[in-house]
Amino acid sequence: MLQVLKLVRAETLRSLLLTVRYPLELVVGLGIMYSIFMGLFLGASALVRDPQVLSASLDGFVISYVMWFFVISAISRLAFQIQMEAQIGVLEQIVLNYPRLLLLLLVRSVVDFGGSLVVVAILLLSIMATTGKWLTVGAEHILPLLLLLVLTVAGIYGFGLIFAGMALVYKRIGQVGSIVQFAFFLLAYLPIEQLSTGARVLLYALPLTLGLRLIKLIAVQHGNVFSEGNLVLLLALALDSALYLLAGAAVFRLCERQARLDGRLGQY
Amino acid sequence: MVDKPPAFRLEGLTKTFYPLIPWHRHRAVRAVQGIDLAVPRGCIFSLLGPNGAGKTTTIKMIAGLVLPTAGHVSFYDEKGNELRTRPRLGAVLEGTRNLYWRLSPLENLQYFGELKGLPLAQIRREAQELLDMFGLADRARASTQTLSRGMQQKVAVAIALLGRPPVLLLDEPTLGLDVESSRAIQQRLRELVERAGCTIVLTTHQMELAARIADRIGIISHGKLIAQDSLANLMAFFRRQDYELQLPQAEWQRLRGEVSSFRFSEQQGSLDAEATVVFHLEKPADFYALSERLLAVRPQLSSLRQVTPSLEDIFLEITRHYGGGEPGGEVCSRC
Repeated sequence: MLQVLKLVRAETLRSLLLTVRYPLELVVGLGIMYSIFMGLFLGASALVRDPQVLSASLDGFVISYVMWFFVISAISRLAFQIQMEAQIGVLEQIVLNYPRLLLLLLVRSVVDFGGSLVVVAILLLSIMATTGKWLTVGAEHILPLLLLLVLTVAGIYGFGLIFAGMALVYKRIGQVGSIVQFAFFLLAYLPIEQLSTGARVLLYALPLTLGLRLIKLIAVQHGNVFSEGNLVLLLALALDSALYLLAGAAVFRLCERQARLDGRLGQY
Repeated sequence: MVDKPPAFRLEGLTKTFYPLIPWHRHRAVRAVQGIDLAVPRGCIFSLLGPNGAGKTTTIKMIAGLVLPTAGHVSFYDEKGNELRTRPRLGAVLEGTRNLYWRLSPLENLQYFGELKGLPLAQIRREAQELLDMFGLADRARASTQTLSRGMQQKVAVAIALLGRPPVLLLDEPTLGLDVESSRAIQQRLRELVERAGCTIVLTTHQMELAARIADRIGIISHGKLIAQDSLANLMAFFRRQDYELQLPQAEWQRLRGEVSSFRFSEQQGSLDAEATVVFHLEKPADFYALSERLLAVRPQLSSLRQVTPSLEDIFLEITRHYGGGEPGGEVCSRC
């Protein structure tokens, strides 16, 4: 446990230092995310002429967008880091000094999630300040919201592990990553509730969707996630995320073994 | 040295790299073929071999970065008991590429020290010590990318030495270093072996470095370990059989046909009046047979001496004559 905490400290420091040393990436990344949102917002405003309708759906719109940011972070950053570290040659040194690569990646996910929360806070503040629509959450909803966020993001990072594993073996997976990110963007905005039961079950089994629905339940509708009707959904979300984490870990281990068999850890 | 328990042992270590695409399996590359080797604890073992011989793949298999196709690596404790897990290893594998260039040397040392699980106080103490040793104390907080290649190499070696690992794997550790730094590293490695009982595997193309520092030499060619012994034994083995003859060209032409049954190499330029011929005899008794021929022909010899080969001569001789041999065709093995 102490070793894991040391690892968290080491990874946090490394992540912070590298973020500071590559400031343009952070600033441009934030700028692009903000610009995309504004593009979507202005587009939606032009389509939906009625300000009341627009205002009513804006909360959900913002939440979907912010949750999509976590998907981008989980899928691209874990895989990109592996790809970049193989490229600069440091990956082998990391594995040599800490052979439990999966655990290291899980720690990185936690650290990355922490960093993403800060970025999301900045993004959210900018968006709310621009649109003039402020999300309000009661104090009693903060803990359930955090729980939902952690559960949802855990599943997303589990899914991200699959891409990190693929990066170990196939090295360049940028195209696949981009397509998947786009698919998740569609998922974030898809009106799943209006689809057939089969489609709903299928789509809610994917990462992000069920968590997003429950987060909106609290943040937009100010509902109770622990109520009898919603508890089943909460348990389903926990199970779904656990399965994605397990599946991601299993795929990553398989890919790691394949990379070691092929001597690909140091290749790019 | 021979009686020391092994730090680790390679048994039938084999690596074949298969392409990812299944129908390209015929393009598989056999990088390492059935290496058996026991490296004694507290020794510097230098692995020599031409480019593409399989040195790096072997080192990466020892490090666990590449999984063998067959065979295995086992590590032992000081009492000679086999360890269940690989002990903490230090390594320089890709030289300057083993670092985060955007972090400073101190930050790199701190990060990798924490990955190794070392206490923060120990990391700080050892990092300062290593940076002082390599003359990098005044650049400790500079971005690694602003350092010269030699300095970056020193940082990579410092990371490997951090935590005084029981086994060190160094792939060309002194590449690009100035003489002073190279000597400092050699001295440090020797100290680690003598004071801490560390075991070091070193690959290098610098024969003088291997000759100066290594207790034992292994020569690898086409993925096979074709020789392994102490430098002294390798020298003795080859010294017994190499004899250099210097004589006028005309005399050599007269003698040549008489000694054609012996294996020899001529080292002469077309304009040289003097010929230099080195006889590579199979066994000591062959020298008497050669002497008899010489006495029969009685050429005017300028000199006749037993050659004391350099490690480079031995390396070239072994790889040239035994490199393509059958697996296990070791020229000498006294491990």
